[in-house]
Amino acid sequence: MRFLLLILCIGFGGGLGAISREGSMSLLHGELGMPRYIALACVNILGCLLIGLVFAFLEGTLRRDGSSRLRDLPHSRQLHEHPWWPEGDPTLSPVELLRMNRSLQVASALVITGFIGSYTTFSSFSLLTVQQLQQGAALEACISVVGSIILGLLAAWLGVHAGCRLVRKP
Amino acid sequence: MLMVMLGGALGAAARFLAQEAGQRWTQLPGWTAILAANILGSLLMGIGYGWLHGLAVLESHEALDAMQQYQDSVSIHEGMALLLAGFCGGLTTFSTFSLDNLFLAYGKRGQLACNILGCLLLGVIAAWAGLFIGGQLA
Repeated sequence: MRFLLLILCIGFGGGLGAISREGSMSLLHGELGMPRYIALACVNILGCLLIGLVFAFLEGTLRRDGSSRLRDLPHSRQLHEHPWWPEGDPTLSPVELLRMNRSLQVASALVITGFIGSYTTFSSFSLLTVQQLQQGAALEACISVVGSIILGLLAAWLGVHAGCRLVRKP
Repeated sequence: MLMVMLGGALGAAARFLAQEAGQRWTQLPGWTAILAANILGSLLMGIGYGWLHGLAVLESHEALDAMQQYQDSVSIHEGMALLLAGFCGGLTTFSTFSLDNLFLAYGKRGQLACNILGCLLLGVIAAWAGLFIGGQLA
């Protein structure tokens, strides 16, 4: 039952994400006249920024049992002012902890796995790279690949940083 | 619009199932599920695109005696292209890939290199193979 709810959330978010992607692509590529590969890179990099932001914010706000993946990242230094970081919040009862974890699951299914995951895409990116290589536009392919990966990583870094700051101070 | 949405919903759900299956039944680290989804999505995108592209090329060469029929088939193909863009786009993801890379960048450089190179090389090869297969199918 729980699993079905998560799948429904992901499907809903994924549908919205796919529409937003097509909308963004037709805005950037169609209306503003950017080349296709730059428009796609913009969409992907924006998605990376958003996923970092939302991931850090949700983890920081809703995961209070001390098992957050954020502990692996140096960004979590910003969370040290919170009394519940990193070992968890001793004032919350197990029921409250469970409830928060479940809210976190639903929220991340809807926004992270569903919406943002579907908003960004790898398949169009590979297809575009193959087409560029077939047309002999190796330079463009290189710019697109290296730029997307590096800027995507930087955007995710920046997003996590900003997301940690957004977690409300006690 | 509806086709893109439907495709995106199905694709995202399939990606989630792949992640869950990877977590439940294998000992592999989490990023491998996304890697697999990205490569599979690239392959499907290549096949679908190559196939539809091949059909469109064939159509423009054949006699267009029944204009109505032609228009019907074009709109069907457009719908399929949108469904494909939605599904493959939903199945594959760049954002989770980057977030995984960020986690791997702290302390697991070997896996980071595997993830980036694997995704890029295999994704491009899969899309290329897909284009070839799709062209043959048409």
